[in-house]
Amino acid sequence: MNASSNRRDTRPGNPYRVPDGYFAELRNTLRERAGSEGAGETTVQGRGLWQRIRGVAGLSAAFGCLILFAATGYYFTGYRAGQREQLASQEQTGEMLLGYHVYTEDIEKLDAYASDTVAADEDRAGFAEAVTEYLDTYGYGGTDLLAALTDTGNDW
Amino acid sequence: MTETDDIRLIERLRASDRGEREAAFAQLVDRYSRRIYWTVRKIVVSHHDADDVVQNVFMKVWSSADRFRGESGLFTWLYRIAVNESLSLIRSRRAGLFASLDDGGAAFDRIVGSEGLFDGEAIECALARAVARLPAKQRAVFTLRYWDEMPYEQMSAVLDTSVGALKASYHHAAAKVERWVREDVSGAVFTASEPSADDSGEK
Repeated sequence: MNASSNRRDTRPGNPYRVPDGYFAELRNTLRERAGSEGAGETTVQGRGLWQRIRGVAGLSAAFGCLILFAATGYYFTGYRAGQREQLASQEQTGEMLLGYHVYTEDIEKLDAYASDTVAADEDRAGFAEAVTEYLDTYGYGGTDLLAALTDTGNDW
Repeated sequence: MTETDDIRLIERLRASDRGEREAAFAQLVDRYSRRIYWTVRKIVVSHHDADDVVQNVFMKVWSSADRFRGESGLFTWLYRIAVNESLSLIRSRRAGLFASLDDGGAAFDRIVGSEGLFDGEAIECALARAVARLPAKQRAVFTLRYWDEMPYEQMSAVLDTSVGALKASYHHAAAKVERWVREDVSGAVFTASEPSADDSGEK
């Protein structure tokens, strides 16, 4: 008997245990698992195009819906509201400009009217003074002044 | 249980007939589930973890039998999957139960205490406790070599590590395990080291 066989004879045994009937149960479990996995493989191979792509299709549809909701929401709450604000702003600016324009125009007209009135009055006064001076200088001997002025035959 | 049987079994696992495949799978489970379970259990300690790993191993074989290239034997392939799954589980638990590489066996005591699926003599308990204190890969090396008495060449195929590196790893692991067993059980006569290169288990 050599050293190796001596060592084997004296080596400690296996101290581990298993529950009763464990290996029979393991056998059954493995057979069941193999059966179910095999069936699973068959199903995977035999499934149609729709079954294979429906996951991706579902994901794409969900993403599309999300984009649609986002666009709709932005249209009604963002874009349209912005447009309304812009329109309101434009109208306000137009009114302000119109008001300023009318006001300025009116002021200018009034100024012009005022200045025209004064000038006309001055002209009229000057004309009357000139006529009076002429008549005083040259005289028409009782002739009505208006008739003298409107008489087209007279070259004065 | 010969290599020819394994080749025939893997051919049946690849068969197009579903009944044939399931029958071959049942045969595979009957043939290897116990050995795989005990190896995994000694690495991961917990019965529930070992159960999960073993189920994953066989389900991987079931789903990827077509990809088995036959470069190694079926048993080596099964072992490789089992050891890799066990190491992944230990590494994933490191943040929790195995927070430290060597917590003095506290994680082992906690698992064994909660599951209650553990009995044996003091030295057996001390050995299992000492193995559980080893780093993950060293634990796998020690388990395959000491408990399963797997030749280094086969271990090399399973762990994808050179024979020299495996011998060195086992040497270090055995030294630590012996020391920890002696610390746990005073006066224990226990040796895991291989006496010489001639008697190192290569057959």
